[in-house]
Amino acid sequence: MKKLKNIEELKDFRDKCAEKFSGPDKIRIIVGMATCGIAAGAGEVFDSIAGEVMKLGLGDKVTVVRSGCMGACHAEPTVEISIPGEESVLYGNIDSQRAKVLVKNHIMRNEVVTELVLEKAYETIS
Amino acid sequence: MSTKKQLRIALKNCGVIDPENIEEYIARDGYMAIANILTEMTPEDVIEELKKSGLRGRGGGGFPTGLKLEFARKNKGKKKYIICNADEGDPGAFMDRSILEGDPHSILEAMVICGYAVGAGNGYIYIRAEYPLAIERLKIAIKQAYKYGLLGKNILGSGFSFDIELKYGAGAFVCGEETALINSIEGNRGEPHFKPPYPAEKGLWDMPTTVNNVETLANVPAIFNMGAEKFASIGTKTSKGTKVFALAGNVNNVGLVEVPMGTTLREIVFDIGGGITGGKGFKAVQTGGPSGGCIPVQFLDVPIDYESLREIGSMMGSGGMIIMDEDTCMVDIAKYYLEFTTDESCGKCTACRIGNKRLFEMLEKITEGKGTEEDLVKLKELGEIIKDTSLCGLGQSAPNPVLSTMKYFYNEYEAHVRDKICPAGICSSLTKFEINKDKCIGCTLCAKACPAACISGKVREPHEIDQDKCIKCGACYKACKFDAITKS
Amino acid sequence: MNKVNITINDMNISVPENYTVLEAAREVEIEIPTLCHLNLHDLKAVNRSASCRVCVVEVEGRGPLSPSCSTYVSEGMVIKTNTPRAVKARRTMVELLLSDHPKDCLTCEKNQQCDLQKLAANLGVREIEYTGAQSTYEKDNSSYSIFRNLDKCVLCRRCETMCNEVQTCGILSGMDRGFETVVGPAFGLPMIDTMCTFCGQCVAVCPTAALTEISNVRQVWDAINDPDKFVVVQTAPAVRVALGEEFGMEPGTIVTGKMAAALRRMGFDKIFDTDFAADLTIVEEASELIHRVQNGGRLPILTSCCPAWVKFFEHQFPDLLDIPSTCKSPHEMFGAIVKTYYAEKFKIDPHKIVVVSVMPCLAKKYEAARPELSGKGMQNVDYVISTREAAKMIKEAGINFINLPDEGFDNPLGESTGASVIFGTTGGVIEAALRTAADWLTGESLEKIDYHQLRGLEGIREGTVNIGGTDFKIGIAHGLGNARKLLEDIRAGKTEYHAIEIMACPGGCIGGGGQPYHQGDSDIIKKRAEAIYREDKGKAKRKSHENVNVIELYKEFLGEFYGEKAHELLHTKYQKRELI
Repeated sequence: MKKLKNIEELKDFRDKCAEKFSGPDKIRIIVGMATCGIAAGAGEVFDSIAGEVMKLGLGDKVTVVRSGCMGACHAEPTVEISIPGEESVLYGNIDSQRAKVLVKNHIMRNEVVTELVLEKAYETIS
Repeated sequence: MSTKKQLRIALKNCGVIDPENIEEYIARDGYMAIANILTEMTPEDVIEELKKSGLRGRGGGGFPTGLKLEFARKNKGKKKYIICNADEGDPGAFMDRSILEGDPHSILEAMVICGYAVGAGNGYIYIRAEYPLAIERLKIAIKQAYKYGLLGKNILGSGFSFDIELKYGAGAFVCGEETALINSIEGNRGEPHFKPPYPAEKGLWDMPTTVNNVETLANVPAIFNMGAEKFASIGTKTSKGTKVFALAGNVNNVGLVEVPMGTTLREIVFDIGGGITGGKGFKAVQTGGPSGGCIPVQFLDVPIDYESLREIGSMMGSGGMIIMDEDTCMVDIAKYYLEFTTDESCGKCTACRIGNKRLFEMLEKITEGKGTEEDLVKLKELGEIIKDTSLCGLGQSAPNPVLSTMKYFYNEYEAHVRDKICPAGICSSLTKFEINKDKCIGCTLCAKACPAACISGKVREPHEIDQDKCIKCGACYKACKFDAITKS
Repeated sequence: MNKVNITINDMNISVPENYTVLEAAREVEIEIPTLCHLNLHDLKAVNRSASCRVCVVEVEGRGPLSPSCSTYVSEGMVIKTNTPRAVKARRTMVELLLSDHPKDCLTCEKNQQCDLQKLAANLGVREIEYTGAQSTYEKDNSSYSIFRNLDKCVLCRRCETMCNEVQTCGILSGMDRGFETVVGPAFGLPMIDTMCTFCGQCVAVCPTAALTEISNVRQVWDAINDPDKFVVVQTAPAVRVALGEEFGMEPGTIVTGKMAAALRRMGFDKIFDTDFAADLTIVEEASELIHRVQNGGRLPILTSCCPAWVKFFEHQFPDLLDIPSTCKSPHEMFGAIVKTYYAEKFKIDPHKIVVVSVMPCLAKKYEAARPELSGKGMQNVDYVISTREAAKMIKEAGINFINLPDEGFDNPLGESTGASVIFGTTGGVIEAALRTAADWLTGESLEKIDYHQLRGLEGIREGTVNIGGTDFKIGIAHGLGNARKLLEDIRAGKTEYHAIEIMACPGGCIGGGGQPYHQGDSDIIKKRAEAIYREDKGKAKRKSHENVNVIELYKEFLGEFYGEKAHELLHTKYQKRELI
C-alpha cells in the first residue's frame, strides 16, 4: 500500500474498503475483545467460532472479527452477528460451546438463538 | 420500551470495527474529517466549528474544547503540542480504555485535527502503562496511519505534518491533572503546578499545549462528519452531545453506556442499567469518581449535565458511575474515596497532603465508633477549607465525597457518632452479631467458621457468641444456613 | 514595564504588570504571610512552588483562594487579603503543618529562627485543632556537613529549588506520594553517598530544622577543655562581616575585633586568621598561574578555594581535573602550616595541636575529613564550625559579644592583607590573585589595585585585565549552576579565559551555607559584600605578597614559591567521582 496523496485517493480507498467489509454476501461475526471481554473468555470464544466456521466450510462468506468493547460488561463475552439485509443480533454470556451453537444455528440454519440474545439498547449516530 | 435511551457518538465504532485494521475505520468514513478539513477549512474554521458544536471537555472540567484550541492557537511558541490525556484513573472507570481499544484511529484523527487547528506538529498520547492492550492497539494504529500517509509528513498532500508519540504513565492518579501530566512527560516528578499559566500559554517544554481527554477527542471527527449543528442539537442548553458512563456497582446491567446529555439518572440506572441487583432499594449514585459526590434518590429525575451535577454536589467527572443499594454505608463510602485520594495525592500542597489525611483519620474514627459530634463539625469545616485552598483539582475536589454524603446522609453520620451504630451494618467495629436461640439448631457450622473461636455451644443446642472476643468478621453470618445469626 | 490598576483591600493602586499579588501587597505595606515562598532577587533564586498555601487571598471572580506568591496581577483585579475566609484558611494550613510537626521547639536547633514558629506566632495559633498521624523518618547524619531531620520538613521545596535550579546538583527532590511525601536523594540514599557538594544552600533556605548542619560544637568544647590539647582557631574572611547578625547587629557590621576577643575568652589557645593563609594561597596560586602561562600549561586556571566547587567538578567534570589550581583551600593550607612550621617553631607536639576553623561554609566540614588533606597521620584541620555554631558557642560561654573590646589576632599566623579579606565575596579571590600577579609580571608595585570590573553580584561576570601589555581574560561565576555553564563552555572549547574564579554559593562565601540565616533577604548578602570591601580598604597592606609573615614563612621554612616543600604541604590532587 502506498501513501494516500489526496482526498480523492482516500475516498476511492474508502469505497473499496466499504465494499470489502459490507458487501451483499458478507456475513460478519464480531467478538467483543477489549480487555474486559478477553478477561471473560472472549479469546476462547473467538477461537471456537473461527474453528467452527472453518470446519463448516463457511470461510468464504463469513468474516470473524475481533472488535473492541460492545458495552455489555454484565454479559461478557459478547458476540454480534450481522447478515446482510437482516437486523444484526447481539448475543451475551457466550462460551466456546455456545459459540459453536451460534454458528450452527444462526449462520447455518438462520435461526436466532433467542435465549442468548441481548437487547441492543443503543442507536449510533450516522 | 420503544425508544432507545442510548446514542453512540464517541463509541460509534467500538464493538463494530476491528481496531487493528485501519481499512475498517476508513470504510466507515475514517479520516474523512481530517481530509475535508485539510482540503477545505482554515484552522480558524476548525476552531469555529468546534465552538459551534458546543463540545466540552469530557475529562472532568467541562471546558469548551473550541476555546481551548483557540487559546493555544493565539499564543506564540516555537513549537506547539497536542496531548491526549489517556491517564484514566478513577476507580471503576474504563471509558477511555474502551475507546482506545475499540477505536484507536478516531483518537489519532482527532489529534491531527487539533494539531491543524492550533498549528502544532507534534502530539503525545499519555497513557497509563496498565493498559497494555490499548497501548498495543494504539501502536498498531499509529504504524498503519503512518503507512497510509495519514500521519507524518505532508498528510494527504496538504503540506501539513503531524507526528504522534506514546508516553507511558506509571500509574499516578494525579498525572491525569494536566500540569502534572506535562511534568511527567518532561521526565519530572508528576505533580501539578499552579495555574495560570495554563498549558495553552506555557505547557509542554514551556510551549503552547492543548491537553484533551480521550472521549473528548473521540467526538471530534464525528462532529466534523455529522456537522456541528447536528451535534449541538443533542443534549442540554449548556452541555451538548453525549456522555459515556461506566456503569458499575449494585446495578444489574453493568457496562459502558453512552447517553445524550440531559438523560436522567433514573433512565440510566433503571432503564439502561436494569435496576438494582437483588431487587434491593436504590440508595445513591456516585458520579465523578473520587472527585465527585453521592447523589441521593431525590435527584434521580434531574436531567444530568455539567451544571446540574455540580448543583447537586457532585460533578460530571470523567464518567465513572457507581450505583449503591440500600445496604451501603455512606460514611464507609466517603472513607473509601478519601483513602484513595490521600494515597494518590502528590503530597505537594499542605491542604491536600495533610488536610485530606486528617479528614480520612476523622472518618476512620467515626466508622470505628470513636467519633464525636465535634468531629462532624470539624469534618465539614476542614473539608470546605481544603476545597478552597488546595493547589490542584485533585485536592480541591477530594472532600466532595465527604461533603456530599454529609449533606444528604447526615443521619448516617449521626448514627455512627451519637448512637454508635452503622445502620447499613458495614462498619465492622459498630456491628454486632448475635445468635437467635429460637432459630439455632446447634449445627456447629458457625463455630467451625469462626476464626476467633468465640462461638460456643453443644451440638444440637443453641450456640452463643462471646461478644468480647468477636472480631466482627461476619464468617458465622455467612456460614449459618438457618438465618439464626443476626447482624445489627 | 507596563503598569496595571488593581484594587487591594479597597485601595486602588497601580503596579508593574509582572508583579505577583504578594509583591503588589508589599507596595502598600500589606504583609501577607508566606512560608514556602523565597525570592533572592539579586541571586536569581526564586521558589514559587505555591505549595504551603499560607499566602492565599481572595481574588474576585476566581473560585478557590489564590496563592499570592504565584498569582500575577492583571488589569482590574480585585484582591482581598484578610477576609475571614482567607485568614481562616491560612491559619488552618499552619495548624495542619503543626499537626504533622514535632513540637519540640524549646530544644530545636532552629528555635527562634524558625519560619514556621514565627508564622504560628504571627497568626495567633494557640491550639492545634487537628491531630493525627505524624511523619517519622530516619534521620540522616551520614555526611560531615548536612543533617536531615525530615520529621520537620514542611515540603516547601526551597531546598529543591536551590539544589536543582540554582546549584543544578539535583540531589534533593520530592519522592513518594500523599502524606508520605518526602524530599531527599534518589533511592533514599544517605547524603554521603550522593554527589552532593555539601554547599549547604539547602540548609541556608530551609525554613525549619529539617536541614541543619552537623554540629561540631561539642567536640570543640571538649578540645578546649582538654588541658593536653593546644587548640588554635582560625576564622574565614566572610565570618567577620556576618557574625554580628547573630547578636542582633546590623547586617554588614564588621566585627573582626570582637570576634577575636570572644574566641580568646572562650579559651582557644591561639586566635589566628584564615586570611593569613589566604595570602599564602594567593602567592601559590599566582605563581601557578604565571608558571602555566610561561610554560604553556593548560589554561584557564580555576580557583580551588571552595570545597563544594571542588567536589562538584570531581563529580560533574572529571575530564577537566587538570585545570583547577592544585592549591589547597586557605584553611587547609593553614592547618598544614600550623602542624608543621608553627609546631616546629614553637616546639609544640603537632599531635597535641587541634586546629579549629570557623567558616561560613558547611562543605568545609566535609573537606576537613578528606583523607588526602592530611600529613603524618593528622588531618590538616580537625574541626570546622560554622559562623552560626561559633555564635552559639559565644552565647553558651556567656560572653556579652556586643560590648566586647576590639582585639587583634595572635602572631605570626594572624597577619593579613586586604587581598585576603576579599576572598569572602564573589570575585575576591581572582582580584587578590591579580593584585599579586600584576606586580610580579610588571616588576612594579602598582597603585591601581581595585578591579571594579570584576565586582558585583551578576552570576557570571567576565573582564579583561591588562597587565604590562598582556590582556588577561578573567571569568567569574558564583552559584554552581553558573559554574556549570562556564565549565560546559570550557569543555566545548568555546572560551579563552586565562583564569576563572568559582564559588559554589550565590554571593560567594558571604552567602555560604554556614552563615547566619538570611531568611530570604538578599539585601543582607549585599551588605556583607560591601563590608568586605570596606575591610579591604581599611587595611594598611592590600596585596598578599606583601604579607610580612608569609614572606618569612617562605624564608624560614617553605623555600621557593610554588617549590617542592610548598607542593608537599600546600597543594593537593583531585579524583574522579561518580554521578549519583
